[in-house]
Amino acid sequence: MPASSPILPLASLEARLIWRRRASWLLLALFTVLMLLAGLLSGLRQTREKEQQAAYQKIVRQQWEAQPDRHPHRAAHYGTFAFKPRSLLAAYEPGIEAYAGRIQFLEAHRQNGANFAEASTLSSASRLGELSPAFLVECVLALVIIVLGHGVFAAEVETGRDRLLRAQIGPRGGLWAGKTLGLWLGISPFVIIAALVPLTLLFFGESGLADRAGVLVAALLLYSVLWVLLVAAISSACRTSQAALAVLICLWLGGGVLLPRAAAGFAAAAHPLPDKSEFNARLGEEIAKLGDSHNDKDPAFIAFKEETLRKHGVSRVEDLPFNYKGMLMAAGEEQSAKVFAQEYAKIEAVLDEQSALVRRIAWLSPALALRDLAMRLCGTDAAAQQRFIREAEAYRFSFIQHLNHLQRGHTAYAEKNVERIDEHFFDEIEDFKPTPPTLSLALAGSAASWAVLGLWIALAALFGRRCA
Amino acid sequence: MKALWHLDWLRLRRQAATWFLLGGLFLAGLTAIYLGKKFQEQQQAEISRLDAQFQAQCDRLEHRYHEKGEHSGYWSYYSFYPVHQPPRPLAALSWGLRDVAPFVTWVRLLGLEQQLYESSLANPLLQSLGQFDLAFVLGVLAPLVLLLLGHDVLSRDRQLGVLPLLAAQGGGGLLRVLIARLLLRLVLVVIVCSVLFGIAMIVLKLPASLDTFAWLFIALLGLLPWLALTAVIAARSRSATGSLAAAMTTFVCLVLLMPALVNLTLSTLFPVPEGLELTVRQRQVMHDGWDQPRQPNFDLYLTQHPAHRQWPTVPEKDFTWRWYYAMHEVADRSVAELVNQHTQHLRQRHAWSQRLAWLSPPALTQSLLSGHSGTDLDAHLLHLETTRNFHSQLKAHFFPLIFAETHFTAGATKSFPRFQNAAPAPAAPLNPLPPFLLALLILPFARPRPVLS
Repeated sequence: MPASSPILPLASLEARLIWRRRASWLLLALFTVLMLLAGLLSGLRQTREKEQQAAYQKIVRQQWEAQPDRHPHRAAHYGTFAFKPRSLLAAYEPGIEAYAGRIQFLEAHRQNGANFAEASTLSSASRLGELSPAFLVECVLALVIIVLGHGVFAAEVETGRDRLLRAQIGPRGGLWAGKTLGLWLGISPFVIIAALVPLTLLFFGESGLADRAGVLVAALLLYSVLWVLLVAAISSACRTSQAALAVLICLWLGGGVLLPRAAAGFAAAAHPLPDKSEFNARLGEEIAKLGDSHNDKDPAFIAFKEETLRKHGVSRVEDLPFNYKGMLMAAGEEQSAKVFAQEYAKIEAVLDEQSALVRRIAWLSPALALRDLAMRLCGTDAAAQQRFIREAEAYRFSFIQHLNHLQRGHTAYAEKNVERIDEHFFDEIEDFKPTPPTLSLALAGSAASWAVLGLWIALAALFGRRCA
Repeated sequence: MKALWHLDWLRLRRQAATWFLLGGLFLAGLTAIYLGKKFQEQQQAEISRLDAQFQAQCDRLEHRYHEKGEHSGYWSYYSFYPVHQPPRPLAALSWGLRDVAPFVTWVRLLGLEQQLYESSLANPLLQSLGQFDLAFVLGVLAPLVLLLLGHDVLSRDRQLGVLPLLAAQGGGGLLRVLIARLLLRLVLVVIVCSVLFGIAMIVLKLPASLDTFAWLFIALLGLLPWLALTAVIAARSRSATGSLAAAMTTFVCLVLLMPALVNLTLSTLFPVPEGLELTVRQRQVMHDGWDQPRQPNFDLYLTQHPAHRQWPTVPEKDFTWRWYYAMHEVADRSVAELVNQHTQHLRQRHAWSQRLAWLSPPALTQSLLSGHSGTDLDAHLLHLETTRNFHSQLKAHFFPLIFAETHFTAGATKSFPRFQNAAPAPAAPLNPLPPFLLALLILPFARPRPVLS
């Protein structure tokens, strides 16, 4: 007897059996149409919003440069905007896009919150979810694998064919590997359709997406392998295909529909954020303690003034070689920026605790883990948002300090800030430049989610092999 | 019928799946009630702290200015006034937009539009994961349980070969069996839902009013289309596996895909671009004012406030608070048209989403429940409206003081206007009957397959 492995023939048989069913073709057609629809609509929307944002970015810059001669502190209150960069990859997984503000108004003395979260303008039925290619992969692809594969072992047992098969294969084994591989091959057209979406976005999106799209496809492949192994394992553990289907649907429902929502609810209840009024009140109190840096006679700055005068060996601020008011403004900005950093850090700590709880719950839900990875790779995750907020604040600080420096060096000390400086000074200030998203930035902190996928794959494989 | 029910109940009772599904639904409901209570408590606590926070701010003003007596324009710049929209009691059951749209807004006398759109402090990750409220449990999970309990009421017996026996007993054939069995399952699900609602009423101290029960009524009506769908699936499918696959496909299409597709289509077809435009434009108008002759701008303000003509013209060289605040109002007015458009577009999109919700029973249930709980877009727009009105009230109170160049006097904060008569958004007047009864039109398709097919 030639000892050729039975794995490949078994696999090809299994795959062919799947495609002999009419339902498979129907599901593939439906899946393709949905993917096309989701990809197209999402892509259109992202492109439009990206263009709109770019247009406004240009307008804001033009307005900045078109400023007439102004007092620098006037320009600091005129302020500017930081726009969160958009990537076409967000069409694949919009993540938190609709819920997070993407425009931050930058002005003197204040760290504003990010504005214009779209979610507050939508209907409440929108909370049932938004159709995105990633959502189709997380929920529908898994269900397709369940529907097509739940009988892969159980149906053989039901019909008694499993004994026949085992007798044919003999003691070498390979039944599990062959049939599981066959199931994966069988559903691979779905995986290919799903993978085509991020790859297509590459052609229309900005440059430098290739590596992230590649890893996205890898995550998607892992996810499909995970569900194939899981379906095979449950199918071989159950006596009837109906029981297998029921168990698998419970797993799918629990991990894909119930747990994410419950995780969100429990995280919000367990680690409540301070409300905005409380936050602003505390912020206001802390800022008030600092004194008013517009007013050079504010008692809070007397020590600072004396120190400055002593350093320069003069007795009146009028005799300083620069405008004392600009220097005071810079000192005040530095103090208030510190308070903002310290208060916003407290918020970030709570946000991190909430996200950590969700990540812990994700050990029970591969769909949540995949979503985490997809959001990171598409730049629509919470970390990207926090990075944007931090960078916008850092830019705000340097932007305002630049203007304070202009006031210090290019205006004279006077009771009232009426003097104006030439407008070309404003043109020199550069726009907000956020760090471009890279693969390594996207993957920082994603180890847990990869581990979730890996653990489920390993457990499903071990369990499935033993049962088969 | 009675015998049919009795036999069916005996069988159902012995199946682990029955108790697993009903128990799961019950547990999910308890979770939702617990989370809803937490949600409501956090919001109420936030609202109840407003008075003290406002008082603390007033105390700070008194402490800082009672001696120095700063110009009213100066301390007004640093004074904020809270406006809020209290939740309806039912909001704990159907969160709607209340977790994403602000229901507390602090305003000051400056241009209002730039103060309205700031996001509240929240975790967008959690918001994007969805809500676990009782509306979700009764509107999405209860139909699923009904589907799972009912999809195989005929196909199982068909597989076991006892269907001819059943059909032969008594009159009415299979249709009678189908109706009896589905009704029993519906009753079970309705009992669990009602018990959950009862618990919610006790835990959340909901008043036993018509208004409260209307919520349950809408949620239960939402089960009707699912009853019809279950009947069609149960009647037409040959095997239990086939009917389960059909049930899951229906569920996924109607619960996950259809509303999601509607949302994506609506936000693609009805963009609302004005938000950005009005922020940018308002800022521009306000700051241009600094570089333009001041009196013409102040005259613009006077066109709407002829009563303020009594104040002297504003000096061109020196800064005056009355010019400063007037300019902020002029900037607000310059975007009034845009604001109208914005609101109109939002309402238009909302109306379409309500219309298209007919395509998906769970979306319709969510839409009706949040409408009835006063937590949908209309409620949020009402909050913005209330805020605008209160802002006008503030201006009417403070502008004369600022224009008259008054200064802070000890005890001035006692006469500050406070936001009063806060009222929750009213329940949306919607008639839920037609769409749900419409779903019963598919019932004729629920004719059982012949016994031997």
